[in-house]
Amino acid sequence: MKAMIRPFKGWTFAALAVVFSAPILAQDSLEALYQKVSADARAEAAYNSTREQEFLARANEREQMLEDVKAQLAAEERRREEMKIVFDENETVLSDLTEQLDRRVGNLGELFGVFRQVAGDMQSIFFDSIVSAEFPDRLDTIERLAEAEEVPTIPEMQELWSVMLQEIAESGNVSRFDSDVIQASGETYSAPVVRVGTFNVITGDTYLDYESSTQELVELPRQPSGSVRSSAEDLYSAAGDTTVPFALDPSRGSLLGLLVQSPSLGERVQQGKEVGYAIIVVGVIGMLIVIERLIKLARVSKRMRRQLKDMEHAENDNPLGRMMQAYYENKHLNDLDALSKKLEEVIFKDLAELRRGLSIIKVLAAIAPLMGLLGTVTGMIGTFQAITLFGTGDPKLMAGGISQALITTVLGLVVAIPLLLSSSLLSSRVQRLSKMIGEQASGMIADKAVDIAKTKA
Amino acid sequence: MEVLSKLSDFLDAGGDVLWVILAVTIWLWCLIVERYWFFLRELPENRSGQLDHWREVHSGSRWFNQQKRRQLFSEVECSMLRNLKLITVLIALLPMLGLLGTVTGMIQVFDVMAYMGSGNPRAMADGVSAATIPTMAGMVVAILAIPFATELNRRYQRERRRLHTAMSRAE
Repeated sequence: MKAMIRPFKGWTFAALAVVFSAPILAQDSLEALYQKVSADARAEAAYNSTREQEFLARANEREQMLEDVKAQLAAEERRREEMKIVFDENETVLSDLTEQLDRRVGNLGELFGVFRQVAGDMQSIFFDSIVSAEFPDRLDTIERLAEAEEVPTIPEMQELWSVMLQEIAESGNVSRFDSDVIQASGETYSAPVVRVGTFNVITGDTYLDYESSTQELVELPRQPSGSVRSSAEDLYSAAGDTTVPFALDPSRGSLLGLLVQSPSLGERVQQGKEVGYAIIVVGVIGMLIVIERLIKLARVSKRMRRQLKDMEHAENDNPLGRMMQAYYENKHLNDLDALSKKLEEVIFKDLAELRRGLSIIKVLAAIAPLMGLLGTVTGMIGTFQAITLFGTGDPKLMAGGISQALITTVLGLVVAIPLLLSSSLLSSRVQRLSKMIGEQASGMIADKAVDIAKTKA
Repeated sequence: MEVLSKLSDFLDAGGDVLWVILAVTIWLWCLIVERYWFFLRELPENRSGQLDHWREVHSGSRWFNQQKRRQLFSEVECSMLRNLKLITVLIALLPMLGLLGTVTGMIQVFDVMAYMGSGNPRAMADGVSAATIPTMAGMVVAILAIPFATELNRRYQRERRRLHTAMSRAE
């Protein structure tokens, strides 16, 4: 009974009512139950027959619709056939026209290819050229021309050769214009700059680098030597049609770029490491002694010259005067041997004072090249250690030791040469002074001897 | 004109140190010429002047003569000795300067190697010539000057002896 009533919801309720009311209706007769069931069965039969009627009616309706759609499909298929014929006809027309176009374009196609290629080449040239710093708009122009997909028009072609001509003309021009310049520290300032052809841009005595990726002018962090910079300054301040010599970089900035990489004097000195610094200390000490000696000797010789002019009054501030004082003090002795011994004592003391430091300078001048040699050897040891560890494949690993070896040699020689020269200079000066003192002493004793001879006579 | 341009090419190829060597060379040869001028021209007058003076002042006292001779003698000796030592020092300096040029040239070579690698001998040629030319120039000038310097020294010793004997004889 359950399987039968499942499709009918209303019936389910009825059955439940039957099940649940059964105990209630237990006292009622089975007659009543039968009456109810049969009534329900009738109702259901009536309901089903109406539904059947409905289904039948709707099935007819659907069949009619199917008929309609089939007719429509047939019509559309007929249309498709017609359209396909038109399409094929058009296709042949199109291929005819394309053929006609190709025939008519002919050599022009090649021309357009060349145009595009040239425009592309010029774009990369303009991108790196410093002329673009003066005319930034032309970069957009050339980019538009190089990337155009369509066939270029005659005005576009004229535009291309006019910018090419401009580049050629500007490469022979020195022009002055205002531009933003970025300092090495990152600050930007606006200044008039001078562009020399396609080679260099300067402002004042400062060489600038054209940063093509950002299209900015950047001050080179390391500038070339003074004479080159002053030539830039001359050009910058030159007016009108005057001709001034100017040091330009024919490689369009790459030589100046290398300059940034090359070590400065200070960095070179640093490459000498400890030995290098020690040599510099030796040199500084040596030069200080030399300067002290030079001043001292100059002062002594000046005082001695003054003393020579005025032999009557003995001054205490120079060897000659001291010697004369000793002579006058011991004049009464009348014993020439004792007198000359006294004078010699004074002379020796002064000579020792004059010669002081000379031997140190000589020793330092001898030590400096030896220290250079020491640096060379330690640098070579470093190099060979690097070779032991890494092999000879990478010269950069060996560079530190090699540069130390070379720089210390240079430093040793640079320190030794002036020390040697000044040592010779000083010793010849001391020799002259000591001879001067000796001569005067001899002369003075001789005069004394004459005096003694006179008194005896 | 051609010689001048060749000379300037040579100096440029040798680098900065070659200019220093040129300066030292000029200095050295000026000193040598000056010394020869002194020994050949000035010294005879100087010597005869001193000898005349010596004849005037020398008296009977032996001790006085000795002292006075010492004074006069040392005056001449002083003028003879001037710059002689400097010549020797400059001759010693020239090979040192040559060595300096060698090392700075080597640094140049290594700089080029750092930029371009060791595959480009043409780029290194500049540094190599800067390394070799100063050494050669320093050596050549020093070797050329050494005979003159020794000759001057010998001349100094000879003149010194001659003056000594002349003074003894005049006594």
